[in-house]
Amino acid sequence: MPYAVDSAAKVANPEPPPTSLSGAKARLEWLPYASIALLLAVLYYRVAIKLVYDWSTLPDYSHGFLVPFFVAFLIWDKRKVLQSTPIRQSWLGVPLVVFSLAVLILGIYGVELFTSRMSFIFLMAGLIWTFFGWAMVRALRFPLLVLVLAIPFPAIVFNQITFPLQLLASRIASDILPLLGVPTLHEGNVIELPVMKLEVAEACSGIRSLMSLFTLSVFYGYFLEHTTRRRVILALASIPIAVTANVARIVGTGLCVQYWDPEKALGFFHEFSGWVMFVISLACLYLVHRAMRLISPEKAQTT
Amino acid sequence: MKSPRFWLVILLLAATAFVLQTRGDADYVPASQPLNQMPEQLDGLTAQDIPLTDDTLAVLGKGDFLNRIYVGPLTSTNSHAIPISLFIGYFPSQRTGQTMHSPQNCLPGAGWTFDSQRYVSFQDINGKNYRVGEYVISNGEIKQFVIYWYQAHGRSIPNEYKAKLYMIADAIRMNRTDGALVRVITQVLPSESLESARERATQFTQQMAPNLPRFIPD
Repeated sequence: MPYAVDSAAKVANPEPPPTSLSGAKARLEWLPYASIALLLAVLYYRVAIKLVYDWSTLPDYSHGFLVPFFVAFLIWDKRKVLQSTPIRQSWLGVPLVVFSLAVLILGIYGVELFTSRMSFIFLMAGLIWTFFGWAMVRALRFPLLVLVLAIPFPAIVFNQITFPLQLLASRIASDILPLLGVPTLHEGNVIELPVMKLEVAEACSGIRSLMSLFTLSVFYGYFLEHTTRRRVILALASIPIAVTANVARIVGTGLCVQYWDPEKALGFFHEFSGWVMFVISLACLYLVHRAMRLISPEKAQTT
Repeated sequence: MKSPRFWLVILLLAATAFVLQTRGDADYVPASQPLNQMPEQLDGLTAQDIPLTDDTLAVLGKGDFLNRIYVGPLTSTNSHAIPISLFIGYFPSQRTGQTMHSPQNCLPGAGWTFDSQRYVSFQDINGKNYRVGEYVISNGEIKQFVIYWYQAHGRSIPNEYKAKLYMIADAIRMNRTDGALVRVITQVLPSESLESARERATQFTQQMAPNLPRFIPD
């Protein structure tokens, strides 16, 4: 239950140090939070179990495990800002809470995983708004948005973006391979080499690892850049980088098949494509980052 | 914190928990026959099963699949000599988030481009109405005529987004998320018009469709 811990931390964190409270009252201070956290756990335990299962089985979403930790870090990092944020309880958060719960019920009854998972983020925003005020929601907007990265997008929509990118990567790879002495025939995402076909079972899939890369570039931008604009550019750079990394993977596989042992090559590449891709992508991110600094050097500024 | 707001939120969360507890996390899956019992003889054609590779099955997910070519007698001069491919993928439950692969991705992924598409209605030999998508796809010189649609709970839907929305609605109304994709393909020979290929595919589909409810429950 990373979420329950997470949410409890989120609700409990912004609490200012109690001033001049008697011991008994201080002991009861956590009770309301605990009861809300408990109810959240009851509401979301099935959703959470399935989500964690998806992180562990979907190759595109293995980064989901990192997101709760990153969010916890973001909140800890902002602790000073959060402590100085004035707490103003508000009735205005209640409609958002009601809306979120309606979305959750719809998602569970309609067996739409994305809907039921997204409702958690709306609900968090609604609860924070109700008990801590709109200023606190604003202060926590980035961590709340980062949570979205851990939720697998509905394939039907996501494929509209990833599938053309995969076709593009296949086309570029099949244009590069002949230049390196590997004759290819390509049909869509299936690339035919003299000895074998590549990516046959992957023909229907969109580009892999786009979401992991996007998440990686959001983390990278957060730690190494200081303006929103630059962070957005870095995050968007993950799209061409994903294509580049996939081209590298296909070209690498093609070269191994041609100049090495086909069987070994495939095994090796499936085994290591994750790591290889990760390193290549990180290198590309670094290059984009350097290029950005060259084009417009950073001005001295405070965040 | 111990304000009316707090108690209202507690009440809302508890009420939602109660509403969700009354709903199980299993679908109702009606009984259906395995797809391999689809008649071997249809419209004067004979079936030849094409086994799907393990890789393909792994990609397709948990379901029952039929992949066949129906061929006519070899030495005939009529259009029956031209084979017709039938693919059906039936998913008893889509609760786990696995979705049917749309031909809109799989065909381009295998190198086919969509030249034209339109939604039409036809009636099978028993007069039952079907709403389907008709597509012409090509790969280099080769042209194929494709008919496909999503079939669930007695409803035929050509559009995948609509099919998804109906899936959600039916999950709420009947606690069912079963559904199928039905796809018929025949080649458009260089010597024939598009219309004659369309005729062939449609006629086959009209003969085949009455069998569907046995495999894809209404």
